[in-house]
Amino acid sequence: MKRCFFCISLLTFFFATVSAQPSPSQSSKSSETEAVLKIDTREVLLPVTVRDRSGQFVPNLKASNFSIYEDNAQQPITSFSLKQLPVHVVLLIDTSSSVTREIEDFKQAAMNFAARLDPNDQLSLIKFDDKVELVMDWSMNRNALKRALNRLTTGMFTNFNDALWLAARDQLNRITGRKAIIVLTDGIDSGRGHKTQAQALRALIEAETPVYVVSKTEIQRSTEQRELESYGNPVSAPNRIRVDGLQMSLAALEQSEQWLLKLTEETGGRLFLPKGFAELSDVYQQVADELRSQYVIFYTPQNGNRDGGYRTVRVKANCKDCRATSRLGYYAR
Amino acid sequence: MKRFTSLLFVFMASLTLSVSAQTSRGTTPAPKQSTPPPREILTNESIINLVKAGFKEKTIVTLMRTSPVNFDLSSTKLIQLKKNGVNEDVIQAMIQRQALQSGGVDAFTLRDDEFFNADDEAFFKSSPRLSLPEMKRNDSTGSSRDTEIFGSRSGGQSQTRSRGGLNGERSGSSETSGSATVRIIKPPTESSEPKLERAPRINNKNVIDMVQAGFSEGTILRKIELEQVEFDLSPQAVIELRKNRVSDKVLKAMREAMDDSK
Repeated sequence: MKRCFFCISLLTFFFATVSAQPSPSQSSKSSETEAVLKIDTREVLLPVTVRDRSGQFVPNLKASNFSIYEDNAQQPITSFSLKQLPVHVVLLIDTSSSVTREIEDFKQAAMNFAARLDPNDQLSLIKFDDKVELVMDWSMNRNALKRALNRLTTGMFTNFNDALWLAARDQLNRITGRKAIIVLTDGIDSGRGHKTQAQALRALIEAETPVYVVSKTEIQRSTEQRELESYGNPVSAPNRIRVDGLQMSLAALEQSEQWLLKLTEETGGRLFLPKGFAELSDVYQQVADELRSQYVIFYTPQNGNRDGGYRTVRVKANCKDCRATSRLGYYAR
Repeated sequence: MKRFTSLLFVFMASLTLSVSAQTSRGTTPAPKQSTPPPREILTNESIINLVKAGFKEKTIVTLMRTSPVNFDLSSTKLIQLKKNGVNEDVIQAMIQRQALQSGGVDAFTLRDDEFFNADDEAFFKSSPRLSLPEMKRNDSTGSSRDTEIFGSRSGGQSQTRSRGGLNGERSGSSETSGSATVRIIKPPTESSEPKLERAPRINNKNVIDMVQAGFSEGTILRKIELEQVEFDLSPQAVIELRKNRVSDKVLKAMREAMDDSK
């Protein structure tokens, strides 16, 4: 009986091992797939936006209209297209106490934005307040986005730097191709998170992700400025604390805008400063239009060293009265 | 006795004169200053006033970051702050600000403070910046029985001990020392990585649980509509759901939700 059991076990093990081996046809098929998917990792992808003096996108340019410089040395363009690659967009929303009232405006703007994108473009939704939460993972389904937007709840603080860092590292680093982050925030981090502005910026540059910021600083500034003026001059003693607070807040907004400008410029995105929440939908549509109107340029750097160093990149569009914008550099990894 | 009485009289008289002189100085109007008043030093009272005036937490913290401060952060005063509606986040910012002003620190812990330890466990759990310290315990004999008390770095804290006499009676004497310390703990780099939380998802089991718990169909439908979902809608799973009295309406909502999530 024991011997019989041993034989059965041996046979079972043998068949299990054989069935686990890939068949020759399967093996060659997978290697073929790998060959097809292989991309030259040395290539650098540059999403480039070209506008004329009036801010309109300039279409119909050719590769010969562009010059790419890396560390001031011109680079040959290896591939060029006008928005043929789908884009992965992270919708990042500040759900701290300071933006509670705007959530509904944001939902509407996000839906309009999604409707304006190409159906193949993928979206994910991350909210940040006391924590950073992935509310919706990558999806092309716009109904799923609608459901996810309805799940947004608000918290107290603003872990903005952590949110940028996590969006870059956890959500976008594994994505190849075009990608972007659109964030609605006042940009003032509560200082309770783990990452600094510099760390967040580095992660975004490493992930090669442009950041489009829809900042509510201008709206907040005009409200606070009006309140400040209402106290008159000189300020009476009972109002002194409030006035001091408003002045501090205005200074913080100014500082925040400087950071947001740096963030968008260095990553190749854009900073929007709407004057009211009614403009939110329009701003999001502008971002969608920009993503749809981008040129995608690939080049293989002549400096082949992958030393992790930072390389500056400059894109020049050779057309009349137009200007090209892209990210300012990348880390050669 | 007479001499003692006259001495006492002289002392009282001089005390009265001294007090009245102080009072009159206080009521004399101060000369007008042409220079602007110096920036206010924030104290516990200022913070309480700001909170009572309805300022946002964020504004108070911003104000704190950029103004000189002189907070009393003894346990008693912390309790007083809390009783006056100042929440732990502002208190934490006060402590950080005070510590920064007195020498520059990265982070420190309140965990060993009895007041915080008692009922704010959840608060500390949610604050990754704070970590459990390895507090040094000192006493006069060098053993580790005496506890360090919570206090500011400037040494403004006092420690009170009762001492027993030779026969065990309480002598009632108190000892004040300036040895109170704050342990500054820099969080290790490894644990300082933020985490991307994932919104909870509801699955078949959650639906069955809700049905069995007696939730109305409307509530379950609303839950399915609002939450992220991860349903198994294979024929076998559907049979199982039906067996557990999950209605057709709920099943339909589950299917629709899954279609949306694809």
